[in-house]
Amino acid sequence: MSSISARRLAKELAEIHSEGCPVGINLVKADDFTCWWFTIEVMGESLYQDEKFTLQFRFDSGYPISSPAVQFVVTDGKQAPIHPHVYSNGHICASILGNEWSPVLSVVAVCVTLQSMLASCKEKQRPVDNDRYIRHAPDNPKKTQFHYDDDTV
Amino acid sequence: MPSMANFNYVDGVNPNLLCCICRMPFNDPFTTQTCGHTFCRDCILQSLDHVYQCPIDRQALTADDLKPADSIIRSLVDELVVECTNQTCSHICQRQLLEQHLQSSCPYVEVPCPSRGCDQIMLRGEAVNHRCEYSLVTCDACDTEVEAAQLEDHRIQCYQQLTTCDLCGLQFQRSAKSSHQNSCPESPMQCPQQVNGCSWKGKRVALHSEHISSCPYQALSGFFSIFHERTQVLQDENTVLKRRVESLQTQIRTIEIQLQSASLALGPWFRNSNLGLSSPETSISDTLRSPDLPSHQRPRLQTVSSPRSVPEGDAFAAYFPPQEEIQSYERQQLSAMERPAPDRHLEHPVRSIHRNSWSLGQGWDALHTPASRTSKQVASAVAPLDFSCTLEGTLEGLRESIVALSTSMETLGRRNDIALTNETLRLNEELMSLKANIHGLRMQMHAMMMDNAQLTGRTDPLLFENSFPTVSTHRYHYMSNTQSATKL
Repeated sequence: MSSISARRLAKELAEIHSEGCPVGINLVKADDFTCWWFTIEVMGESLYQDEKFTLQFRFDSGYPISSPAVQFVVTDGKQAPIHPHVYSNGHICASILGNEWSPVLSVVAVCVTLQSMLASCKEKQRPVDNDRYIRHAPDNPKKTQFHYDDDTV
Repeated sequence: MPSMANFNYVDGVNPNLLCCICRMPFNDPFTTQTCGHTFCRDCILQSLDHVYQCPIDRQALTADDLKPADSIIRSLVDELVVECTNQTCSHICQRQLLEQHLQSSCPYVEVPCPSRGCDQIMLRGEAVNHRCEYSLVTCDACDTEVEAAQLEDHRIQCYQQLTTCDLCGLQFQRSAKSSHQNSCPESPMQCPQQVNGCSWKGKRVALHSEHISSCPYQALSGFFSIFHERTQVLQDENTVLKRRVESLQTQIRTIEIQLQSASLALGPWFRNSNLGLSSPETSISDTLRSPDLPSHQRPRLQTVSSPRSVPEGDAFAAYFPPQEEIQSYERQQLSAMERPAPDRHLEHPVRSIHRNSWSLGQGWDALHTPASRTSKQVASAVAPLDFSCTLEGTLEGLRESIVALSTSMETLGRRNDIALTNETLRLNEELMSLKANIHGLRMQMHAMMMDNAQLTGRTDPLLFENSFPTVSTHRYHYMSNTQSATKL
């Protein structure tokens, strides 16, 4: 792992420890600079009231130039939220995790974006191609070429 | 050269100087010409490899749109103070000077052995003392520099050659040079007692044959050794004592600070209690400026035993400025009040009213004017605190003063009550007599009017009704009487 990504992640982690996460987001584990876990819950009135989800970030040495691999954890009894852009295997179809990723974004910024994505959901449903996608989905969601069609959510 | 990302910045860095991509202060900053954002050169070039847009606002961006950032930004980041990238090195300097430090002076940079032909790598700091087979050493026999590995071979040849001592002219093999230097009779020597002050210098041969036997310092060498020992002991003791004095000074300083805060809290009592400890008489006489203080002292001590039996005139004199007028007034009033005969209490206010023979309001004012004057004095006069006394003593004194004051307040209230009752009684009596008088007048008036009516033969119904005693209150009678009188 190159020192640039490690140093950048170390700095982000230090900021999380010193300033804390935004409301509804909590760091679960960040033992190394390859995989971090966060819990995320939607504050206020929403379809996901009293539900808590776990987000997994995987970083490669290209971070922050290349995006982190972000998905919901669906093992150990954890569930991915039922959302038109979240597949049942935890993969998220969000442009900022793909071609709209920018190195100025941070881990916390991604969490906040996903939190607001859940908060603005109008109807709890899986993506239309959910079954087809999870049959062939790669392990790393970054290998999927998502087609971003909906920018309302 | 270590990676630039490993800089450790000594101070906090202004967030405006941080690159959005690596979150570190700009390193070789470049600014986009299209949108004016600044990044590290490496960061933005890596990002452009990924996607041709500005990471901040996603505007289209190519490497051609980048130009080096303004020199002011460059100076700001170049002058940031960083630690040396070698963690064992404690050197800190401006970022732009670090490279120079690493290249030339950092003792923890790995450098090749300075000796020609050696390919060992070592830290610069150790290189000075490094000895390898290639490092040059000086032959002790001929003073030429040879590589360490060849020293043995060199010596074998060198030692066999003959040489001549420069001083005594003796010829010997070079191998014996070092031993000769220690024994050459011509070599310059200094007296072994030089440390004790002997300034003799001369040849070795002269040292032993002449000087040692006559050197006054040599004779005293036994004394010097004892003296040195003692000095050493004294020096050790001195250092211990110095340390002790330092710690004591620190303690004294803390105590002084505590004392200051304590004296600040105690206010004027601090100084006086301090003086009082040394000489109470002088401290009292020093602080006694107001003339009524001694008189205050006396009653205060008396009130301790029996506050109620104190002559209150004196006690009052202590609390108010010594105006004879007030004092005499108080004495007079209080002595009047303290007389046991109850008829005096009744008699005194009535008498004063009779004597003054003013209206009711005036009489009341006259009764109370001195009292209001004294109350004004209470407000304006500062209570004579006795600073010469201890704080507890003063507090005790103040408490007793309050007790005395409350007692006198009580008597004053009682006196006022009695005066009021007497006044009311007297007024009632006067009112009754006035009423009787008025009644008589009314009856006379009535009779006159009836006579008049009979004479003229006409009756005024209104007058008749008003003047007739149909209404029973005296007050109404009085009013109607006045009316009829006006009409007349």
